[in-house]
Amino acid sequence: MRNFLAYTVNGLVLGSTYALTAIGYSMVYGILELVNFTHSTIYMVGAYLFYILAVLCHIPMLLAFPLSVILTGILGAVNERITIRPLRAKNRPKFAMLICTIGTSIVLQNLFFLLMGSETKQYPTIAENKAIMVLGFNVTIVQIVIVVTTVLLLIAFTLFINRTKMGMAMRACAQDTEATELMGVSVDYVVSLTFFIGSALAAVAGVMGCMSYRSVDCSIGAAIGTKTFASTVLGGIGVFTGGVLGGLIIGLTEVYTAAYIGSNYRNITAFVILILVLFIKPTGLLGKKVLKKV
Amino acid sequence: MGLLSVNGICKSFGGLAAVSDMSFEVSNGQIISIIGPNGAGKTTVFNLLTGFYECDEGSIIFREEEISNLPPYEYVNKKLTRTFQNLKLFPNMTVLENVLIGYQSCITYSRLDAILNTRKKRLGEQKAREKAMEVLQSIDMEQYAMEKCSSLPYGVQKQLEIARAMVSDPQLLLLDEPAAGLNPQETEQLAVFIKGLPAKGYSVLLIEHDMSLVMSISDYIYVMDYGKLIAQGVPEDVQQNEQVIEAYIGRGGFKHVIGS
Amino acid sequence: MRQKKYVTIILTLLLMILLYSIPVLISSQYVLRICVYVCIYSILACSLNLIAGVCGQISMGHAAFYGIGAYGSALVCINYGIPWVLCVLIAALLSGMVGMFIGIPALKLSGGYLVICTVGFGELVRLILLNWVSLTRGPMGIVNIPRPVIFNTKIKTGGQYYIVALTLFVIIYIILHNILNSKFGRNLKAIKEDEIAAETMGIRVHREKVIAFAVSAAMAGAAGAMLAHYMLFISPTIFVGDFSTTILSMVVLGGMGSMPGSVIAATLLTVIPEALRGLDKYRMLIYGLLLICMMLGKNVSWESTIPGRKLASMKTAVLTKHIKNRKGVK
Repeated sequence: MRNFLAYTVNGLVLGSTYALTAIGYSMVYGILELVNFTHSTIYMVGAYLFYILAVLCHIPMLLAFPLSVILTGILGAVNERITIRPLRAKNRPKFAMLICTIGTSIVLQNLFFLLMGSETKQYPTIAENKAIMVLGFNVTIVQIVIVVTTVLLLIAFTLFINRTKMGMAMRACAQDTEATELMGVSVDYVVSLTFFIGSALAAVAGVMGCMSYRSVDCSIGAAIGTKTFASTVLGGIGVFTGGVLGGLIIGLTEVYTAAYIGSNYRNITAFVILILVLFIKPTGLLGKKVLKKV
Repeated sequence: MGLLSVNGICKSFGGLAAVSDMSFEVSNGQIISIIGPNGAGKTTVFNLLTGFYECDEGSIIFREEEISNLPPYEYVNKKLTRTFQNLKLFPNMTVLENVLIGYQSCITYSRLDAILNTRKKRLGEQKAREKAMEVLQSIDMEQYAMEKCSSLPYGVQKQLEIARAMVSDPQLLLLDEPAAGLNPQETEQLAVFIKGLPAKGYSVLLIEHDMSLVMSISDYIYVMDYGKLIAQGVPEDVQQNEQVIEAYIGRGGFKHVIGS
Repeated sequence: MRQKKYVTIILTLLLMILLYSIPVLISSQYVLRICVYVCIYSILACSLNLIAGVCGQISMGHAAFYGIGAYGSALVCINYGIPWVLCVLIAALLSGMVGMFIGIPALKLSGGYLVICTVGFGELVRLILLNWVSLTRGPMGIVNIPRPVIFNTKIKTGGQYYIVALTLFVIIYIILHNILNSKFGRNLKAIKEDEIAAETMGIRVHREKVIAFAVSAAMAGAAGAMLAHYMLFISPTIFVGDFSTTILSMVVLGGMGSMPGSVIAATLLTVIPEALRGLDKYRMLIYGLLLICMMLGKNVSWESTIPGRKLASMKTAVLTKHIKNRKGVK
């Protein structure tokens, strides 16, 4: 029982990072109907930028963290500006954008592979190994920080989406891009901002995820890609709360699988869940039914 | 017995009745129009007739056979084909290929024939090509045959879409706003073209906003508003019908028109 | 018209003679080895082109079918001693069947969902190959795969292997060529352009997609069988996701839907990394850039750069202008 609780905590921590990453997938899909394959690589880039700033440039962590998050956000927006917007402007078929994001993902991953080398690096963390006893089992400070940060960010994000003008513009874009454009909202700007926020949140997740594992390498993006996408689809793509719920479920299942079935299978779980959801209820747990437009 | 008889079909989307209790008939060799203001449910009727939406209630009898709620690809075999409000051609294929796709349900060789390039396949392809060229000739488009169809003028594309539907050898053609986006001369040509269809063996069910076109070619008109049939009759009657004018212009507007 | 046809036939014959005489002209085992790989990768690129390029259903799990074919053929050959030609057929059948079972549910999805699903499928196959140790020997891979025997001749030399691989490629290319020039191929093109219009014209969209997917998978399986009996050793590391990306790069570089393009791209992407051995580290980076540039570039397909087409497109340019004016009115 104590083990089970410990696993649950681990699952929630893992799920938090998935949830934050899932928001980016969900937002981009909501507006452009595009699965952004670059997104999982952005997660890796965020984690590495923090590593570069904090370890290689010796910038204090409290400064390096927001800096890396913002830089990653800008990178996401720039990436959109260079590779997505021209295709959108020319009204190219969907697969062109899709292949473009696959290409960008490969380029970024290999760029960091070349720059940083292939070996796994030790990742800086806060409050080294310090743990406190909660209800009879150990919880590390990092784990608490991760969960708290995620909750705070999610609250902030929900407020942003529901209470601000820009958030409203985003929701409008997700409903109908053309109509929103006609109402005088600059869709280009909204899309850029979407990529910025999504990438920034992914960077937060990347940094925190690596802090909890205490290591980083170039393949973490690819590893998290299917899982976060599975989270998004499980919760209902385009529905932000759905992505969060999906992330937590996937995180928990993954940890339980590793614990009770075997760690070989942990990476298959997300995929199996994804397949099941797609075939049983493709709209996800919280998704709405979409009418086929004729 | 009519060619097509639609009896009390209903369709609602989440409580909103898009089409309710709609009934109408089409007889062989007729041109029948469905008119109504935007959002009256006309295109929904087409989507129900061609299986893109499932009817909640009612029946659709075509050539003495119930055809409601079949998968969309079955309707060509039932000899009923449609066009779309906003062009649905295959833009990066040639004009000839587009017409050949329309003809595909009549091409009978198997996939194995295709892979082995048998005589049956070659003959079948040759025959299909000849038939397609014939159709293109009949609408004066054979000079475009090898062009990518997205490179054609809009009016020609509209005509091509009808040609593509015709080549599948339907008995009933459903035309969804064929005149939309055409200039007056082109609309004129289209009117002549549609009027000639019954003589070639095609009956026509037409949705159209261009009233002069509808009034000049229809044998009978059904008027829809808010998903319901509000009037029907020959063009002269419908033109005089107060309910129809009201649906189009609105009660206040109507008075205003009378007043001035 | 007829004259043009004869010219095509003569050119094709000359090309075939040239291709088949390579082992006579070149004795370098190294070059022959590359030639064998060019054949195998061309099969992979062309087969993926059928479903991704022609039909527009982008799959990123092609390496999995390649792997299923390779393992299937190797295991059947080792365990039951079946002749190689039959092994290839069994491998193709096996891959094709797996493709069909995956395709039936997966091809109901579109765009990004399908890509993710195929990525996941590729990963699943790799993990199965890695973890089903009793069958696949896991990470150790399968060793001592028998060499092919054809007409009582044991295929040993690089030249012999090349002839066999080339023949397999030619057969598959002809099949694909015939498919593209038939109703089936045309229907696939129509599905890529507009699924709703295709369905209205009586095309059973889902069924056509699944069949195309299965055919494509079967061909990749045959390529896998060729590889297994050439390398004589296979392990799960060959069939990773990166390799699926490489195949997709070939298809995209060659022009989506163009079979000759796929062959040329497969040749380039096999030969260039060999020529620039030092740049091996940058290989995937270059592939990624290629994908982006091809999509951002003016033409998604290379076909419009072929001179004959150019004239046609010039003629149509006038008409295009006409439409643009018209659309302004609309």
